[in-house]
Amino acid sequence: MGPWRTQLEAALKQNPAHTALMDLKGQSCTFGQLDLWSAAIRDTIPAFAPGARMAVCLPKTISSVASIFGIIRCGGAYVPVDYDAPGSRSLYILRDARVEVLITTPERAKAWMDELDADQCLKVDAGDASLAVLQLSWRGLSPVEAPSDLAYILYTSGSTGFPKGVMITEDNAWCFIDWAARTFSLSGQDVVSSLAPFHFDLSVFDLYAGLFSGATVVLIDAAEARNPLLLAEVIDRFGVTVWYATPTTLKMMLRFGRMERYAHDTLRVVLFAGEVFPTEPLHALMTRWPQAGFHNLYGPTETNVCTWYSLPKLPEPGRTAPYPIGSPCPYATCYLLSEEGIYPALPGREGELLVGGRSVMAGYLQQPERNAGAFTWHHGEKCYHTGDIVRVDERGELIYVSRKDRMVKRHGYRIELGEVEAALHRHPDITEAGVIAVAGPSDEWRIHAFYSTRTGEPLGAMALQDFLGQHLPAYMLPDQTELMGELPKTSTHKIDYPALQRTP
Amino acid sequence: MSDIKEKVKAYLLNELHLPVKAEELNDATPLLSSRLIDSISALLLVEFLEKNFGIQFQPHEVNNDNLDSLDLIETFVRGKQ
Repeated sequence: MGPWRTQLEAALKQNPAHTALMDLKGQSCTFGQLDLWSAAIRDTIPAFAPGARMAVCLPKTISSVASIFGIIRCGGAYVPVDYDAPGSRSLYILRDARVEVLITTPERAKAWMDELDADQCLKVDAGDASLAVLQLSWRGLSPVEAPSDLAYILYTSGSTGFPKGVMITEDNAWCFIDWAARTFSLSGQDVVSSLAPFHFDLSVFDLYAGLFSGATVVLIDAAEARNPLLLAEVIDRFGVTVWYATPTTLKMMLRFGRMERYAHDTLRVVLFAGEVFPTEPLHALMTRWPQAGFHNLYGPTETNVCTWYSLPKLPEPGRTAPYPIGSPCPYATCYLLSEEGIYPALPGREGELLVGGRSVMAGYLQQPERNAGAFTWHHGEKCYHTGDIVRVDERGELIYVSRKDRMVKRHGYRIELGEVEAALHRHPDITEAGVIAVAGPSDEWRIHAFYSTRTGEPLGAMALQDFLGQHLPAYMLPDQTELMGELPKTSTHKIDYPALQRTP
Repeated sequence: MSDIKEKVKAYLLNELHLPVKAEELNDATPLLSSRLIDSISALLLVEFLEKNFGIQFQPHEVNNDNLDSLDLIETFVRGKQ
């Protein structure tokens, strides 16, 4: 048993009376209770083979953490499924991963019972919540191959219209957790925010670096995380010391959070990741929280955090360019791929960032072709193609330049524009669809969808959003939809995206 | 339609540029849960309501229960006035 599992056991036993989790609705539990509840879930899970995938589809509550820990403690790999996502997407993920166990609410278990053809449905009490544990066998589907030391699978947006499962092994996860806990000196004195949903990779820091260090973690659900007035108040209410959020969330807090009402003097570490933080609001936040250290963490889900940059204590006067994504974490190696070949990340170079080292994923589940394109072997090391173009400044720090492909990030979430197009194509009246991202007024990406219909008549904006909402999670829904008689094409009859960008 | 709803509807259509026609937007049309209003626009709406109707939202009151339709918004605003 590696440190991923042994450290969890140790953390649960070390300080049983200390508060492990709190939420904004007034629920809380100690490490001792979390130990008991996750053990109850572990003991309910039926026998399985090593590397078995087990899904958790629950609202973000204490019992969802107990469920994830129950899965880790019994030796399984967890697959977090967004409780609020469209059913078709969630069911696709359960099937794609061939999960052998699903832990969910009794209501959801009932709703999906027929679709899933469960072998049995067990009940377990974890604290104040009663959960359903379904055993699934996927008769008639080919089995999938996954490493026996798999820790979890996170599904991210896929350009073909289906999400893809990123397989993270125990060591992939552990090297980051161990580094992060040491680097930010986490301890039982800390109160760590948990803003990210568990299907998003930022949650790995909150749950494991936080709880493995004996810190108290404050669970903030998706609706609460969209309310900056509440977030600004929560820091003081719980005495949060470590706050990890996307730049979008931090910008919203600054703009709408009524920050002047609060002291926020407990904050000592502010971490951000997932997208570029424009310098002006970042400086404003640094000025508001002068006692806190600010750190930019970078890394796609496939490599977890692989580079980081600690910002200077005071904003650099006159700086307008975004701060660097920094230098490689000790477990990661970075190379740059350009037309000339693969080179070490040395000052003056620019190219696609390739990442090797201990944190690089095992691969995408069930995607041999995609895996062949995702990795390059360099000097005997498996390196992941991030698709991010970076350059190295004179001090050797990596600077993010742009994306290579049609992926954008919004609120820290990855959106493959092709997945949005694929959802539009599912509509029976839509004959063509083209989706672009355009920069909004405060630097955020806005998704514009263009389509043509069989009849030439527009689809009602609300009806179309409603339809798309059945196939896409909310963060992928277009901000604007527009009917065109015919979409512009290139000479090779492909959709002319630059022409769409020029559409007023 | 009441005065409150008229003002809010005009704001939604003219200032927040909701992607719907005026006749599509009725008193019960879901605004946030349908994603007609994104999270930033919802916060702009809160500021608009506070400024125009002399009310103050508590942090926990910024949610779908109070903002998801013209009906709910009117009820909330009247309750605060």
